[in-house]
Amino acid sequence: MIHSLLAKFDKNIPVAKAHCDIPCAIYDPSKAQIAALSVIRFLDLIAEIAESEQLSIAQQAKLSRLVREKEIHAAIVKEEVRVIWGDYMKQPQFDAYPDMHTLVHSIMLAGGAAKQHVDVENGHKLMSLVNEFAEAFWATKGVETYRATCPYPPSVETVYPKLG
Amino acid sequence: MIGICKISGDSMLPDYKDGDYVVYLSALFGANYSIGQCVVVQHADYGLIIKRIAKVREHHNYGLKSESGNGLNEQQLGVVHRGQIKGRVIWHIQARNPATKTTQN
Repeated sequence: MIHSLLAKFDKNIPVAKAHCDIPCAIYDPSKAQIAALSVIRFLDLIAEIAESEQLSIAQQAKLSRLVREKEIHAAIVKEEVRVIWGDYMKQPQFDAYPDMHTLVHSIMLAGGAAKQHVDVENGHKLMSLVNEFAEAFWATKGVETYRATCPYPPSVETVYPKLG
Repeated sequence: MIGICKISGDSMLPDYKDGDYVVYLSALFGANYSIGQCVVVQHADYGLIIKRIAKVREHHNYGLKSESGNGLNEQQLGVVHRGQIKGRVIWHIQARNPATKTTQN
């Protein structure tokens, strides 16, 4: 009852922070999106190498680098999404997007598949889910979004916030 | 002096939840704070925060700690002077339990 009464004067009561981490409050899914685009790009380049009948030493070296980077960037996608989901999102966001847990879990699975295999479709699936996540994230901020083809390879549809 | 503030965040769980209010009282006549007391602090880096006194140091300086294991630790929080401590919590007004609210709805 006293809490309800105080809640009516909420605007005049200062807030004492008790955050679980350094309260930087900077959350943005763009890093996850760029990492997902990179995964597609690496998968495209791997597919190009796969067309060769025999690989030179230089091609083998390039393939090794591409596979390594693909796995690193798929892991970045998973980490970035996990942080937003775990640190930024709270009950009000989950109430607004009841499927958020399922979406994040799907991103974890798609990220794992993109790490394990070299099928380009895995990269596109990951990007599609991360785009969906970005739309939901910006909606929680009250920021409109639009979809456009990114202006660099792999030239796939990407969600951007409408700012300014 | 008496003040009131609302808690934002989960670093003081399980005792203090996000959305709770606390009333604090400044130490009167230069009295010191003691280990274990929950205090509201105007921190140079983190702004207005609520933490627990972890250490009492010389010259009216104090070490602070979070309650939850994931919160800012004593090293991150550094040393605060008594002048930065706005007061110790004397009354804890808890937010309604969200689980109870859901059940009622």
